[in-house]
Amino acid sequence: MPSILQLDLQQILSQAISFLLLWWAMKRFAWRPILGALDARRARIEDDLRAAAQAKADMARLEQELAQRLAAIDEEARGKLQEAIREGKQVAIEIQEEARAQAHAVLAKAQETIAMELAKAKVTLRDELADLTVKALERILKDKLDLKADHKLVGAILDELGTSPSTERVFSSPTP
Amino acid sequence: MAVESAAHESIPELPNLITVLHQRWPDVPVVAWLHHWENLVFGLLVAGVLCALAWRYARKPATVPSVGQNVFEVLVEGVDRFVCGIVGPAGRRHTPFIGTLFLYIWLMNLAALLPGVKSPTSSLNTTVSLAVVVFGYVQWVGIHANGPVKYLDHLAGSPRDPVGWALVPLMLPIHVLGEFIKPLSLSLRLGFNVFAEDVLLAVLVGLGLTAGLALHAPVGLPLQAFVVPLVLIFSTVQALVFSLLSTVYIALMSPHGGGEHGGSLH
Repeated sequence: MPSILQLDLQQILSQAISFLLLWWAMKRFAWRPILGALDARRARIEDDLRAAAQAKADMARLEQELAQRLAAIDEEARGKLQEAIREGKQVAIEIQEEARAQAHAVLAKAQETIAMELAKAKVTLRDELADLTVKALERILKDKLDLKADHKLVGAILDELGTSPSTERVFSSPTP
Repeated sequence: MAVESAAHESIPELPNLITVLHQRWPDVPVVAWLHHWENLVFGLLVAGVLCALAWRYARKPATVPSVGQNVFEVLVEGVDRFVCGIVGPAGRRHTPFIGTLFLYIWLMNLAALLPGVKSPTSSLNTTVSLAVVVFGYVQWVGIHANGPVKYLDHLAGSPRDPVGWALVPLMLPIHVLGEFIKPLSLSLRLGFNVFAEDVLLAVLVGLGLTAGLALHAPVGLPLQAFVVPLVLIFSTVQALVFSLLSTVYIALMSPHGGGEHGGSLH
């Protein structure tokens, strides 16, 4: 009988046992560790992919929120700008009004000052006229001149009076 | 006896280290023992290589795998998908058995390509031992997955009427024999195929030596190199067929739907 057909129970059993031992060793030192590592790696990759998808969704949501906030900020800035323009215009109007009021006040004060100065000048003129009249009367009374001489004297006084600077100023200034 | 001897002598066989030792020292007990157990010795050699590789590259998988670990991962993942593709998600627990079976048979088939080494699978003792293991494993899966009552009911032919019960003494041995014949047929196919490959290699080596002598060459012509690719392919195919059909037997014994104790036997 060819050797291949010679079955030996001892050899069959011993080889079966050797295979069982090999199975145990391979299961312990190869299959379990590698399958565990592959499962762990697969789980880790799935977790990472899930986290990446979550991060991507979060990023999209944040981008949307940012765009909304930027739009709100833009709108708020535009509103504040419009309000500032309005306030500026209001301030300008108020400044104009105030300046106008101040100008009116200054003008009124100037007119009042002018009126006071004019009144003061009139008083001064009247006093000077009175002084001159008194001086003229004193000279008339002192000299006891005749009528002709009196006229001449009065005319001289009046001429003198007309050449006086204060008198010229009084008569040449316009009436307020 | 003379016919048997002539038939034995007529089958060419490549010499291996143990046969060389036996031819040189046939009376040394250790050599005789090695010669008697040469298939087991070469099988253990292959198993030792597998264990050493597993110990070196797969025992503690690194986060960044080395080349050896990568090879193991590809093998393990491929076998796992192969088994789970046939058995279903519950096939994961059968992956170590089928994977070890495949790697063991594959490397034993390829061992003949190494000078001085014999394919242990060219002996029916080796392949029948694998068939015995597959038979035991499949029956254990059947009992574990379906329960002993349902398992025995299946082996008895699922009797539901008096005729069925009357046929139990006939059906039970037929079913048991059928369960054993399935892996036994695998072992015969594997054994004879690898044996034929070895004979082919031996014939071609003999032809090469004869041609070398005829041509006065210092060495024989390597005619066997032309069939090495075929041996590579056939060795892989035979290992795949054995593993595939063993997986199918496991799947047939597993309950339908992948659940434990929830289905029916085929």
